[in-house]
Amino acid sequence: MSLFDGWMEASSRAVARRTSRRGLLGSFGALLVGVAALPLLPVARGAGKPAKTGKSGKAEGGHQDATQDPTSCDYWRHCAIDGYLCGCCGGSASACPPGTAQSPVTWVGTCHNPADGLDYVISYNDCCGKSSCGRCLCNRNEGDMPLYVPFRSNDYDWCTGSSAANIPYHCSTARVLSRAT
Amino acid sequence: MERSSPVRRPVWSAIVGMAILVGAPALAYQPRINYMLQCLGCHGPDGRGEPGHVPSIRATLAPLSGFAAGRHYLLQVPGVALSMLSDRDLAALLNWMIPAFGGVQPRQFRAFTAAEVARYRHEPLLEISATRARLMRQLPLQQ
Amino acid sequence: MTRTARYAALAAGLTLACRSLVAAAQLPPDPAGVVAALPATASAHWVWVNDIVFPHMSDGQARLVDGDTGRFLGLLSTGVAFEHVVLAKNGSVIFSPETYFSRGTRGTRTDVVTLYDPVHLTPRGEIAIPPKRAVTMPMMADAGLTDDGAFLLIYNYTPAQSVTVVDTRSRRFAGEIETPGCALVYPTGPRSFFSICADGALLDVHLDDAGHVSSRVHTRNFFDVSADPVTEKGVRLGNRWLFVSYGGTMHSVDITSRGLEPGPRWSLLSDTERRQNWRPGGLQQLAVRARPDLLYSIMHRGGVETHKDAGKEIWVYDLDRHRRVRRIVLRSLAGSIQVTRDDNPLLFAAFIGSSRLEVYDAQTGRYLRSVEDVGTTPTLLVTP
Repeated sequence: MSLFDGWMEASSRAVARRTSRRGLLGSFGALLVGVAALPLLPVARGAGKPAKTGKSGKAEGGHQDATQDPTSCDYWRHCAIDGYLCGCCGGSASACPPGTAQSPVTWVGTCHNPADGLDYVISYNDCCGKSSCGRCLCNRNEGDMPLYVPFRSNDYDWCTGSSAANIPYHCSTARVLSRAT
Repeated sequence: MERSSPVRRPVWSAIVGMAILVGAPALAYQPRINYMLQCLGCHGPDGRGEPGHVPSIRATLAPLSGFAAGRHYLLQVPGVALSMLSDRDLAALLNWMIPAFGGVQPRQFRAFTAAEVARYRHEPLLEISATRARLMRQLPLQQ
Repeated sequence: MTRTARYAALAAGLTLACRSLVAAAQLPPDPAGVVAALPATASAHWVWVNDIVFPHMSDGQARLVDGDTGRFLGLLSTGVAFEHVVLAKNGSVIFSPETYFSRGTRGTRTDVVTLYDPVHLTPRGEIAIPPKRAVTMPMMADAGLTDDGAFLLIYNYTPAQSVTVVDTRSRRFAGEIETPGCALVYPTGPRSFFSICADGALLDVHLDDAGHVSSRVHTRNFFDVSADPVTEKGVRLGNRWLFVSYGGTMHSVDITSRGLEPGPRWSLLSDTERRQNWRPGGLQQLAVRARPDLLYSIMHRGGVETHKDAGKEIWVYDLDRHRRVRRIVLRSLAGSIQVTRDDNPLLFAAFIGSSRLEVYDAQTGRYLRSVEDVGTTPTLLVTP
């Protein structure tokens, strides 16, 4: 734990100041065996502006349970998301921020919602056409496959495959398509 | 936004309640859900694809299923041939897609069988654009 | 002399003294327009820190650091969603597949391979390629040179999959090869490469001297995709490509006279370590070196869903005996590692969530130095 704190304090990266602890897990950072078992960390002590993290009790949305907070990396739908959360960027988990285009080409996975005990099919459409939102960076990889199984991979920039969506990646949504079972 | 088509005979299978972790046995979903997980990301919720980028399967699925070369193509496109779905689940998926997108009744097309899927999916197409173009030209003749 | 006059004389004397001191210490003016240049030959201990600059992806960069001195040597500005530079084997040029939009973050997209002068770090020219370059979390296998450097191969994803072939001798686009269902490029010879297909087979591609396909074969299965997939972050030592799975099992693809053959499988983990949930992770998670043949793998503890997580340990394995020979505990998290090819190798470690590069002795694991501000989101480490 103290190692992680030490790393956080030593980091000079602006994105670290603004992301939740959970958001730095996955390919962006992990030291921990299980996130749920850990106490909450203050983000980058001494960084100045207090970060609006997605952790329960400190979320932008004011939710107590992070798995139900759409601006939290722990939000149940974000089980395999990779990028900035559109809910922190002027959009929502299912809507793109103003002036961006939702890419119709995407990848689709499933996540488990602890609130109702069901698995849902989640479409991780990216919002495109502006530079990175830069808020609420989150990377989780449940069920994610390598690039050679593209329709199960969150490592592609999914701002591709249509005229509306160019590469400039802005943020990621997590749209519910259906119950999975 | 996704409206499920009525599934007359849901294909239930074991262990669907578990979290989707790699390492678990391949889970069998209803064809409608398999379409979402395996195909929808590129071909869209209604199979229309993205003009110029992703082919429409809505327009071509039913006609292609009507003749041998077309059926083989459907089983050899990478999304089908290289899919992690079993032969049986692939057949079920195709047989769901054709009426769902092609606007034909189930009795109006010859259903795919697991055996047919197994026969052709292991010869995946490498020359894909040229084959598709040739088949598209043949489509009006096959109607 | 009056007191005032005395003080005036003293002041005048001091002023004269100061002025002559100043005159003796005065620096000559610096000439204008002086621009540093790199030595003609790259050091084996240099490292290119490639940076996709995730929060500002229009500003991709490749940043050069001297691993021996910790000195920052310069950078290349490399466009939108930048993956990594490809160094010519003889060091004569640096290739960089790049993407630009006519209005920075919007407008018409153009993709090019820029050729950079390796001494002056200036663009010498560019080769237009189809605007289809796959944009992904950076992978070394996004682009690579065939073994004799004649062809630069670039993976495309639109979402149709193909490979762009650039002839580096004529510096022209040679063609695009359809690779349906298969991804990335793993060179295997002067005129050959493979891609990995979604069913765990390989696409074995051979080129003629013009860079066109002479054969293209979808092989039998090499990898079990459903049970414990290998990551795409393979590394090559001699005629063997090494891949590690989510669960820490090593697989290899051997380049033989009979074609591509699967090599032996072995685990990076003991039963105890597996039970403790140790597993490989990271973005550039493996590195190899020769003589002795060693594999380096970033390791951490976590469930299978943590297969991309960075780690604070690097485990080193003897590739002949498939045994771990060293366990290096790093000072900081690492998501990317690289080992230099010389006889006194350095081990570089970076992390996308940090701007610090750490340098270790690759043979002993001893920490040597850190370099600050090597990048915004360092991704892949490329050494000569």
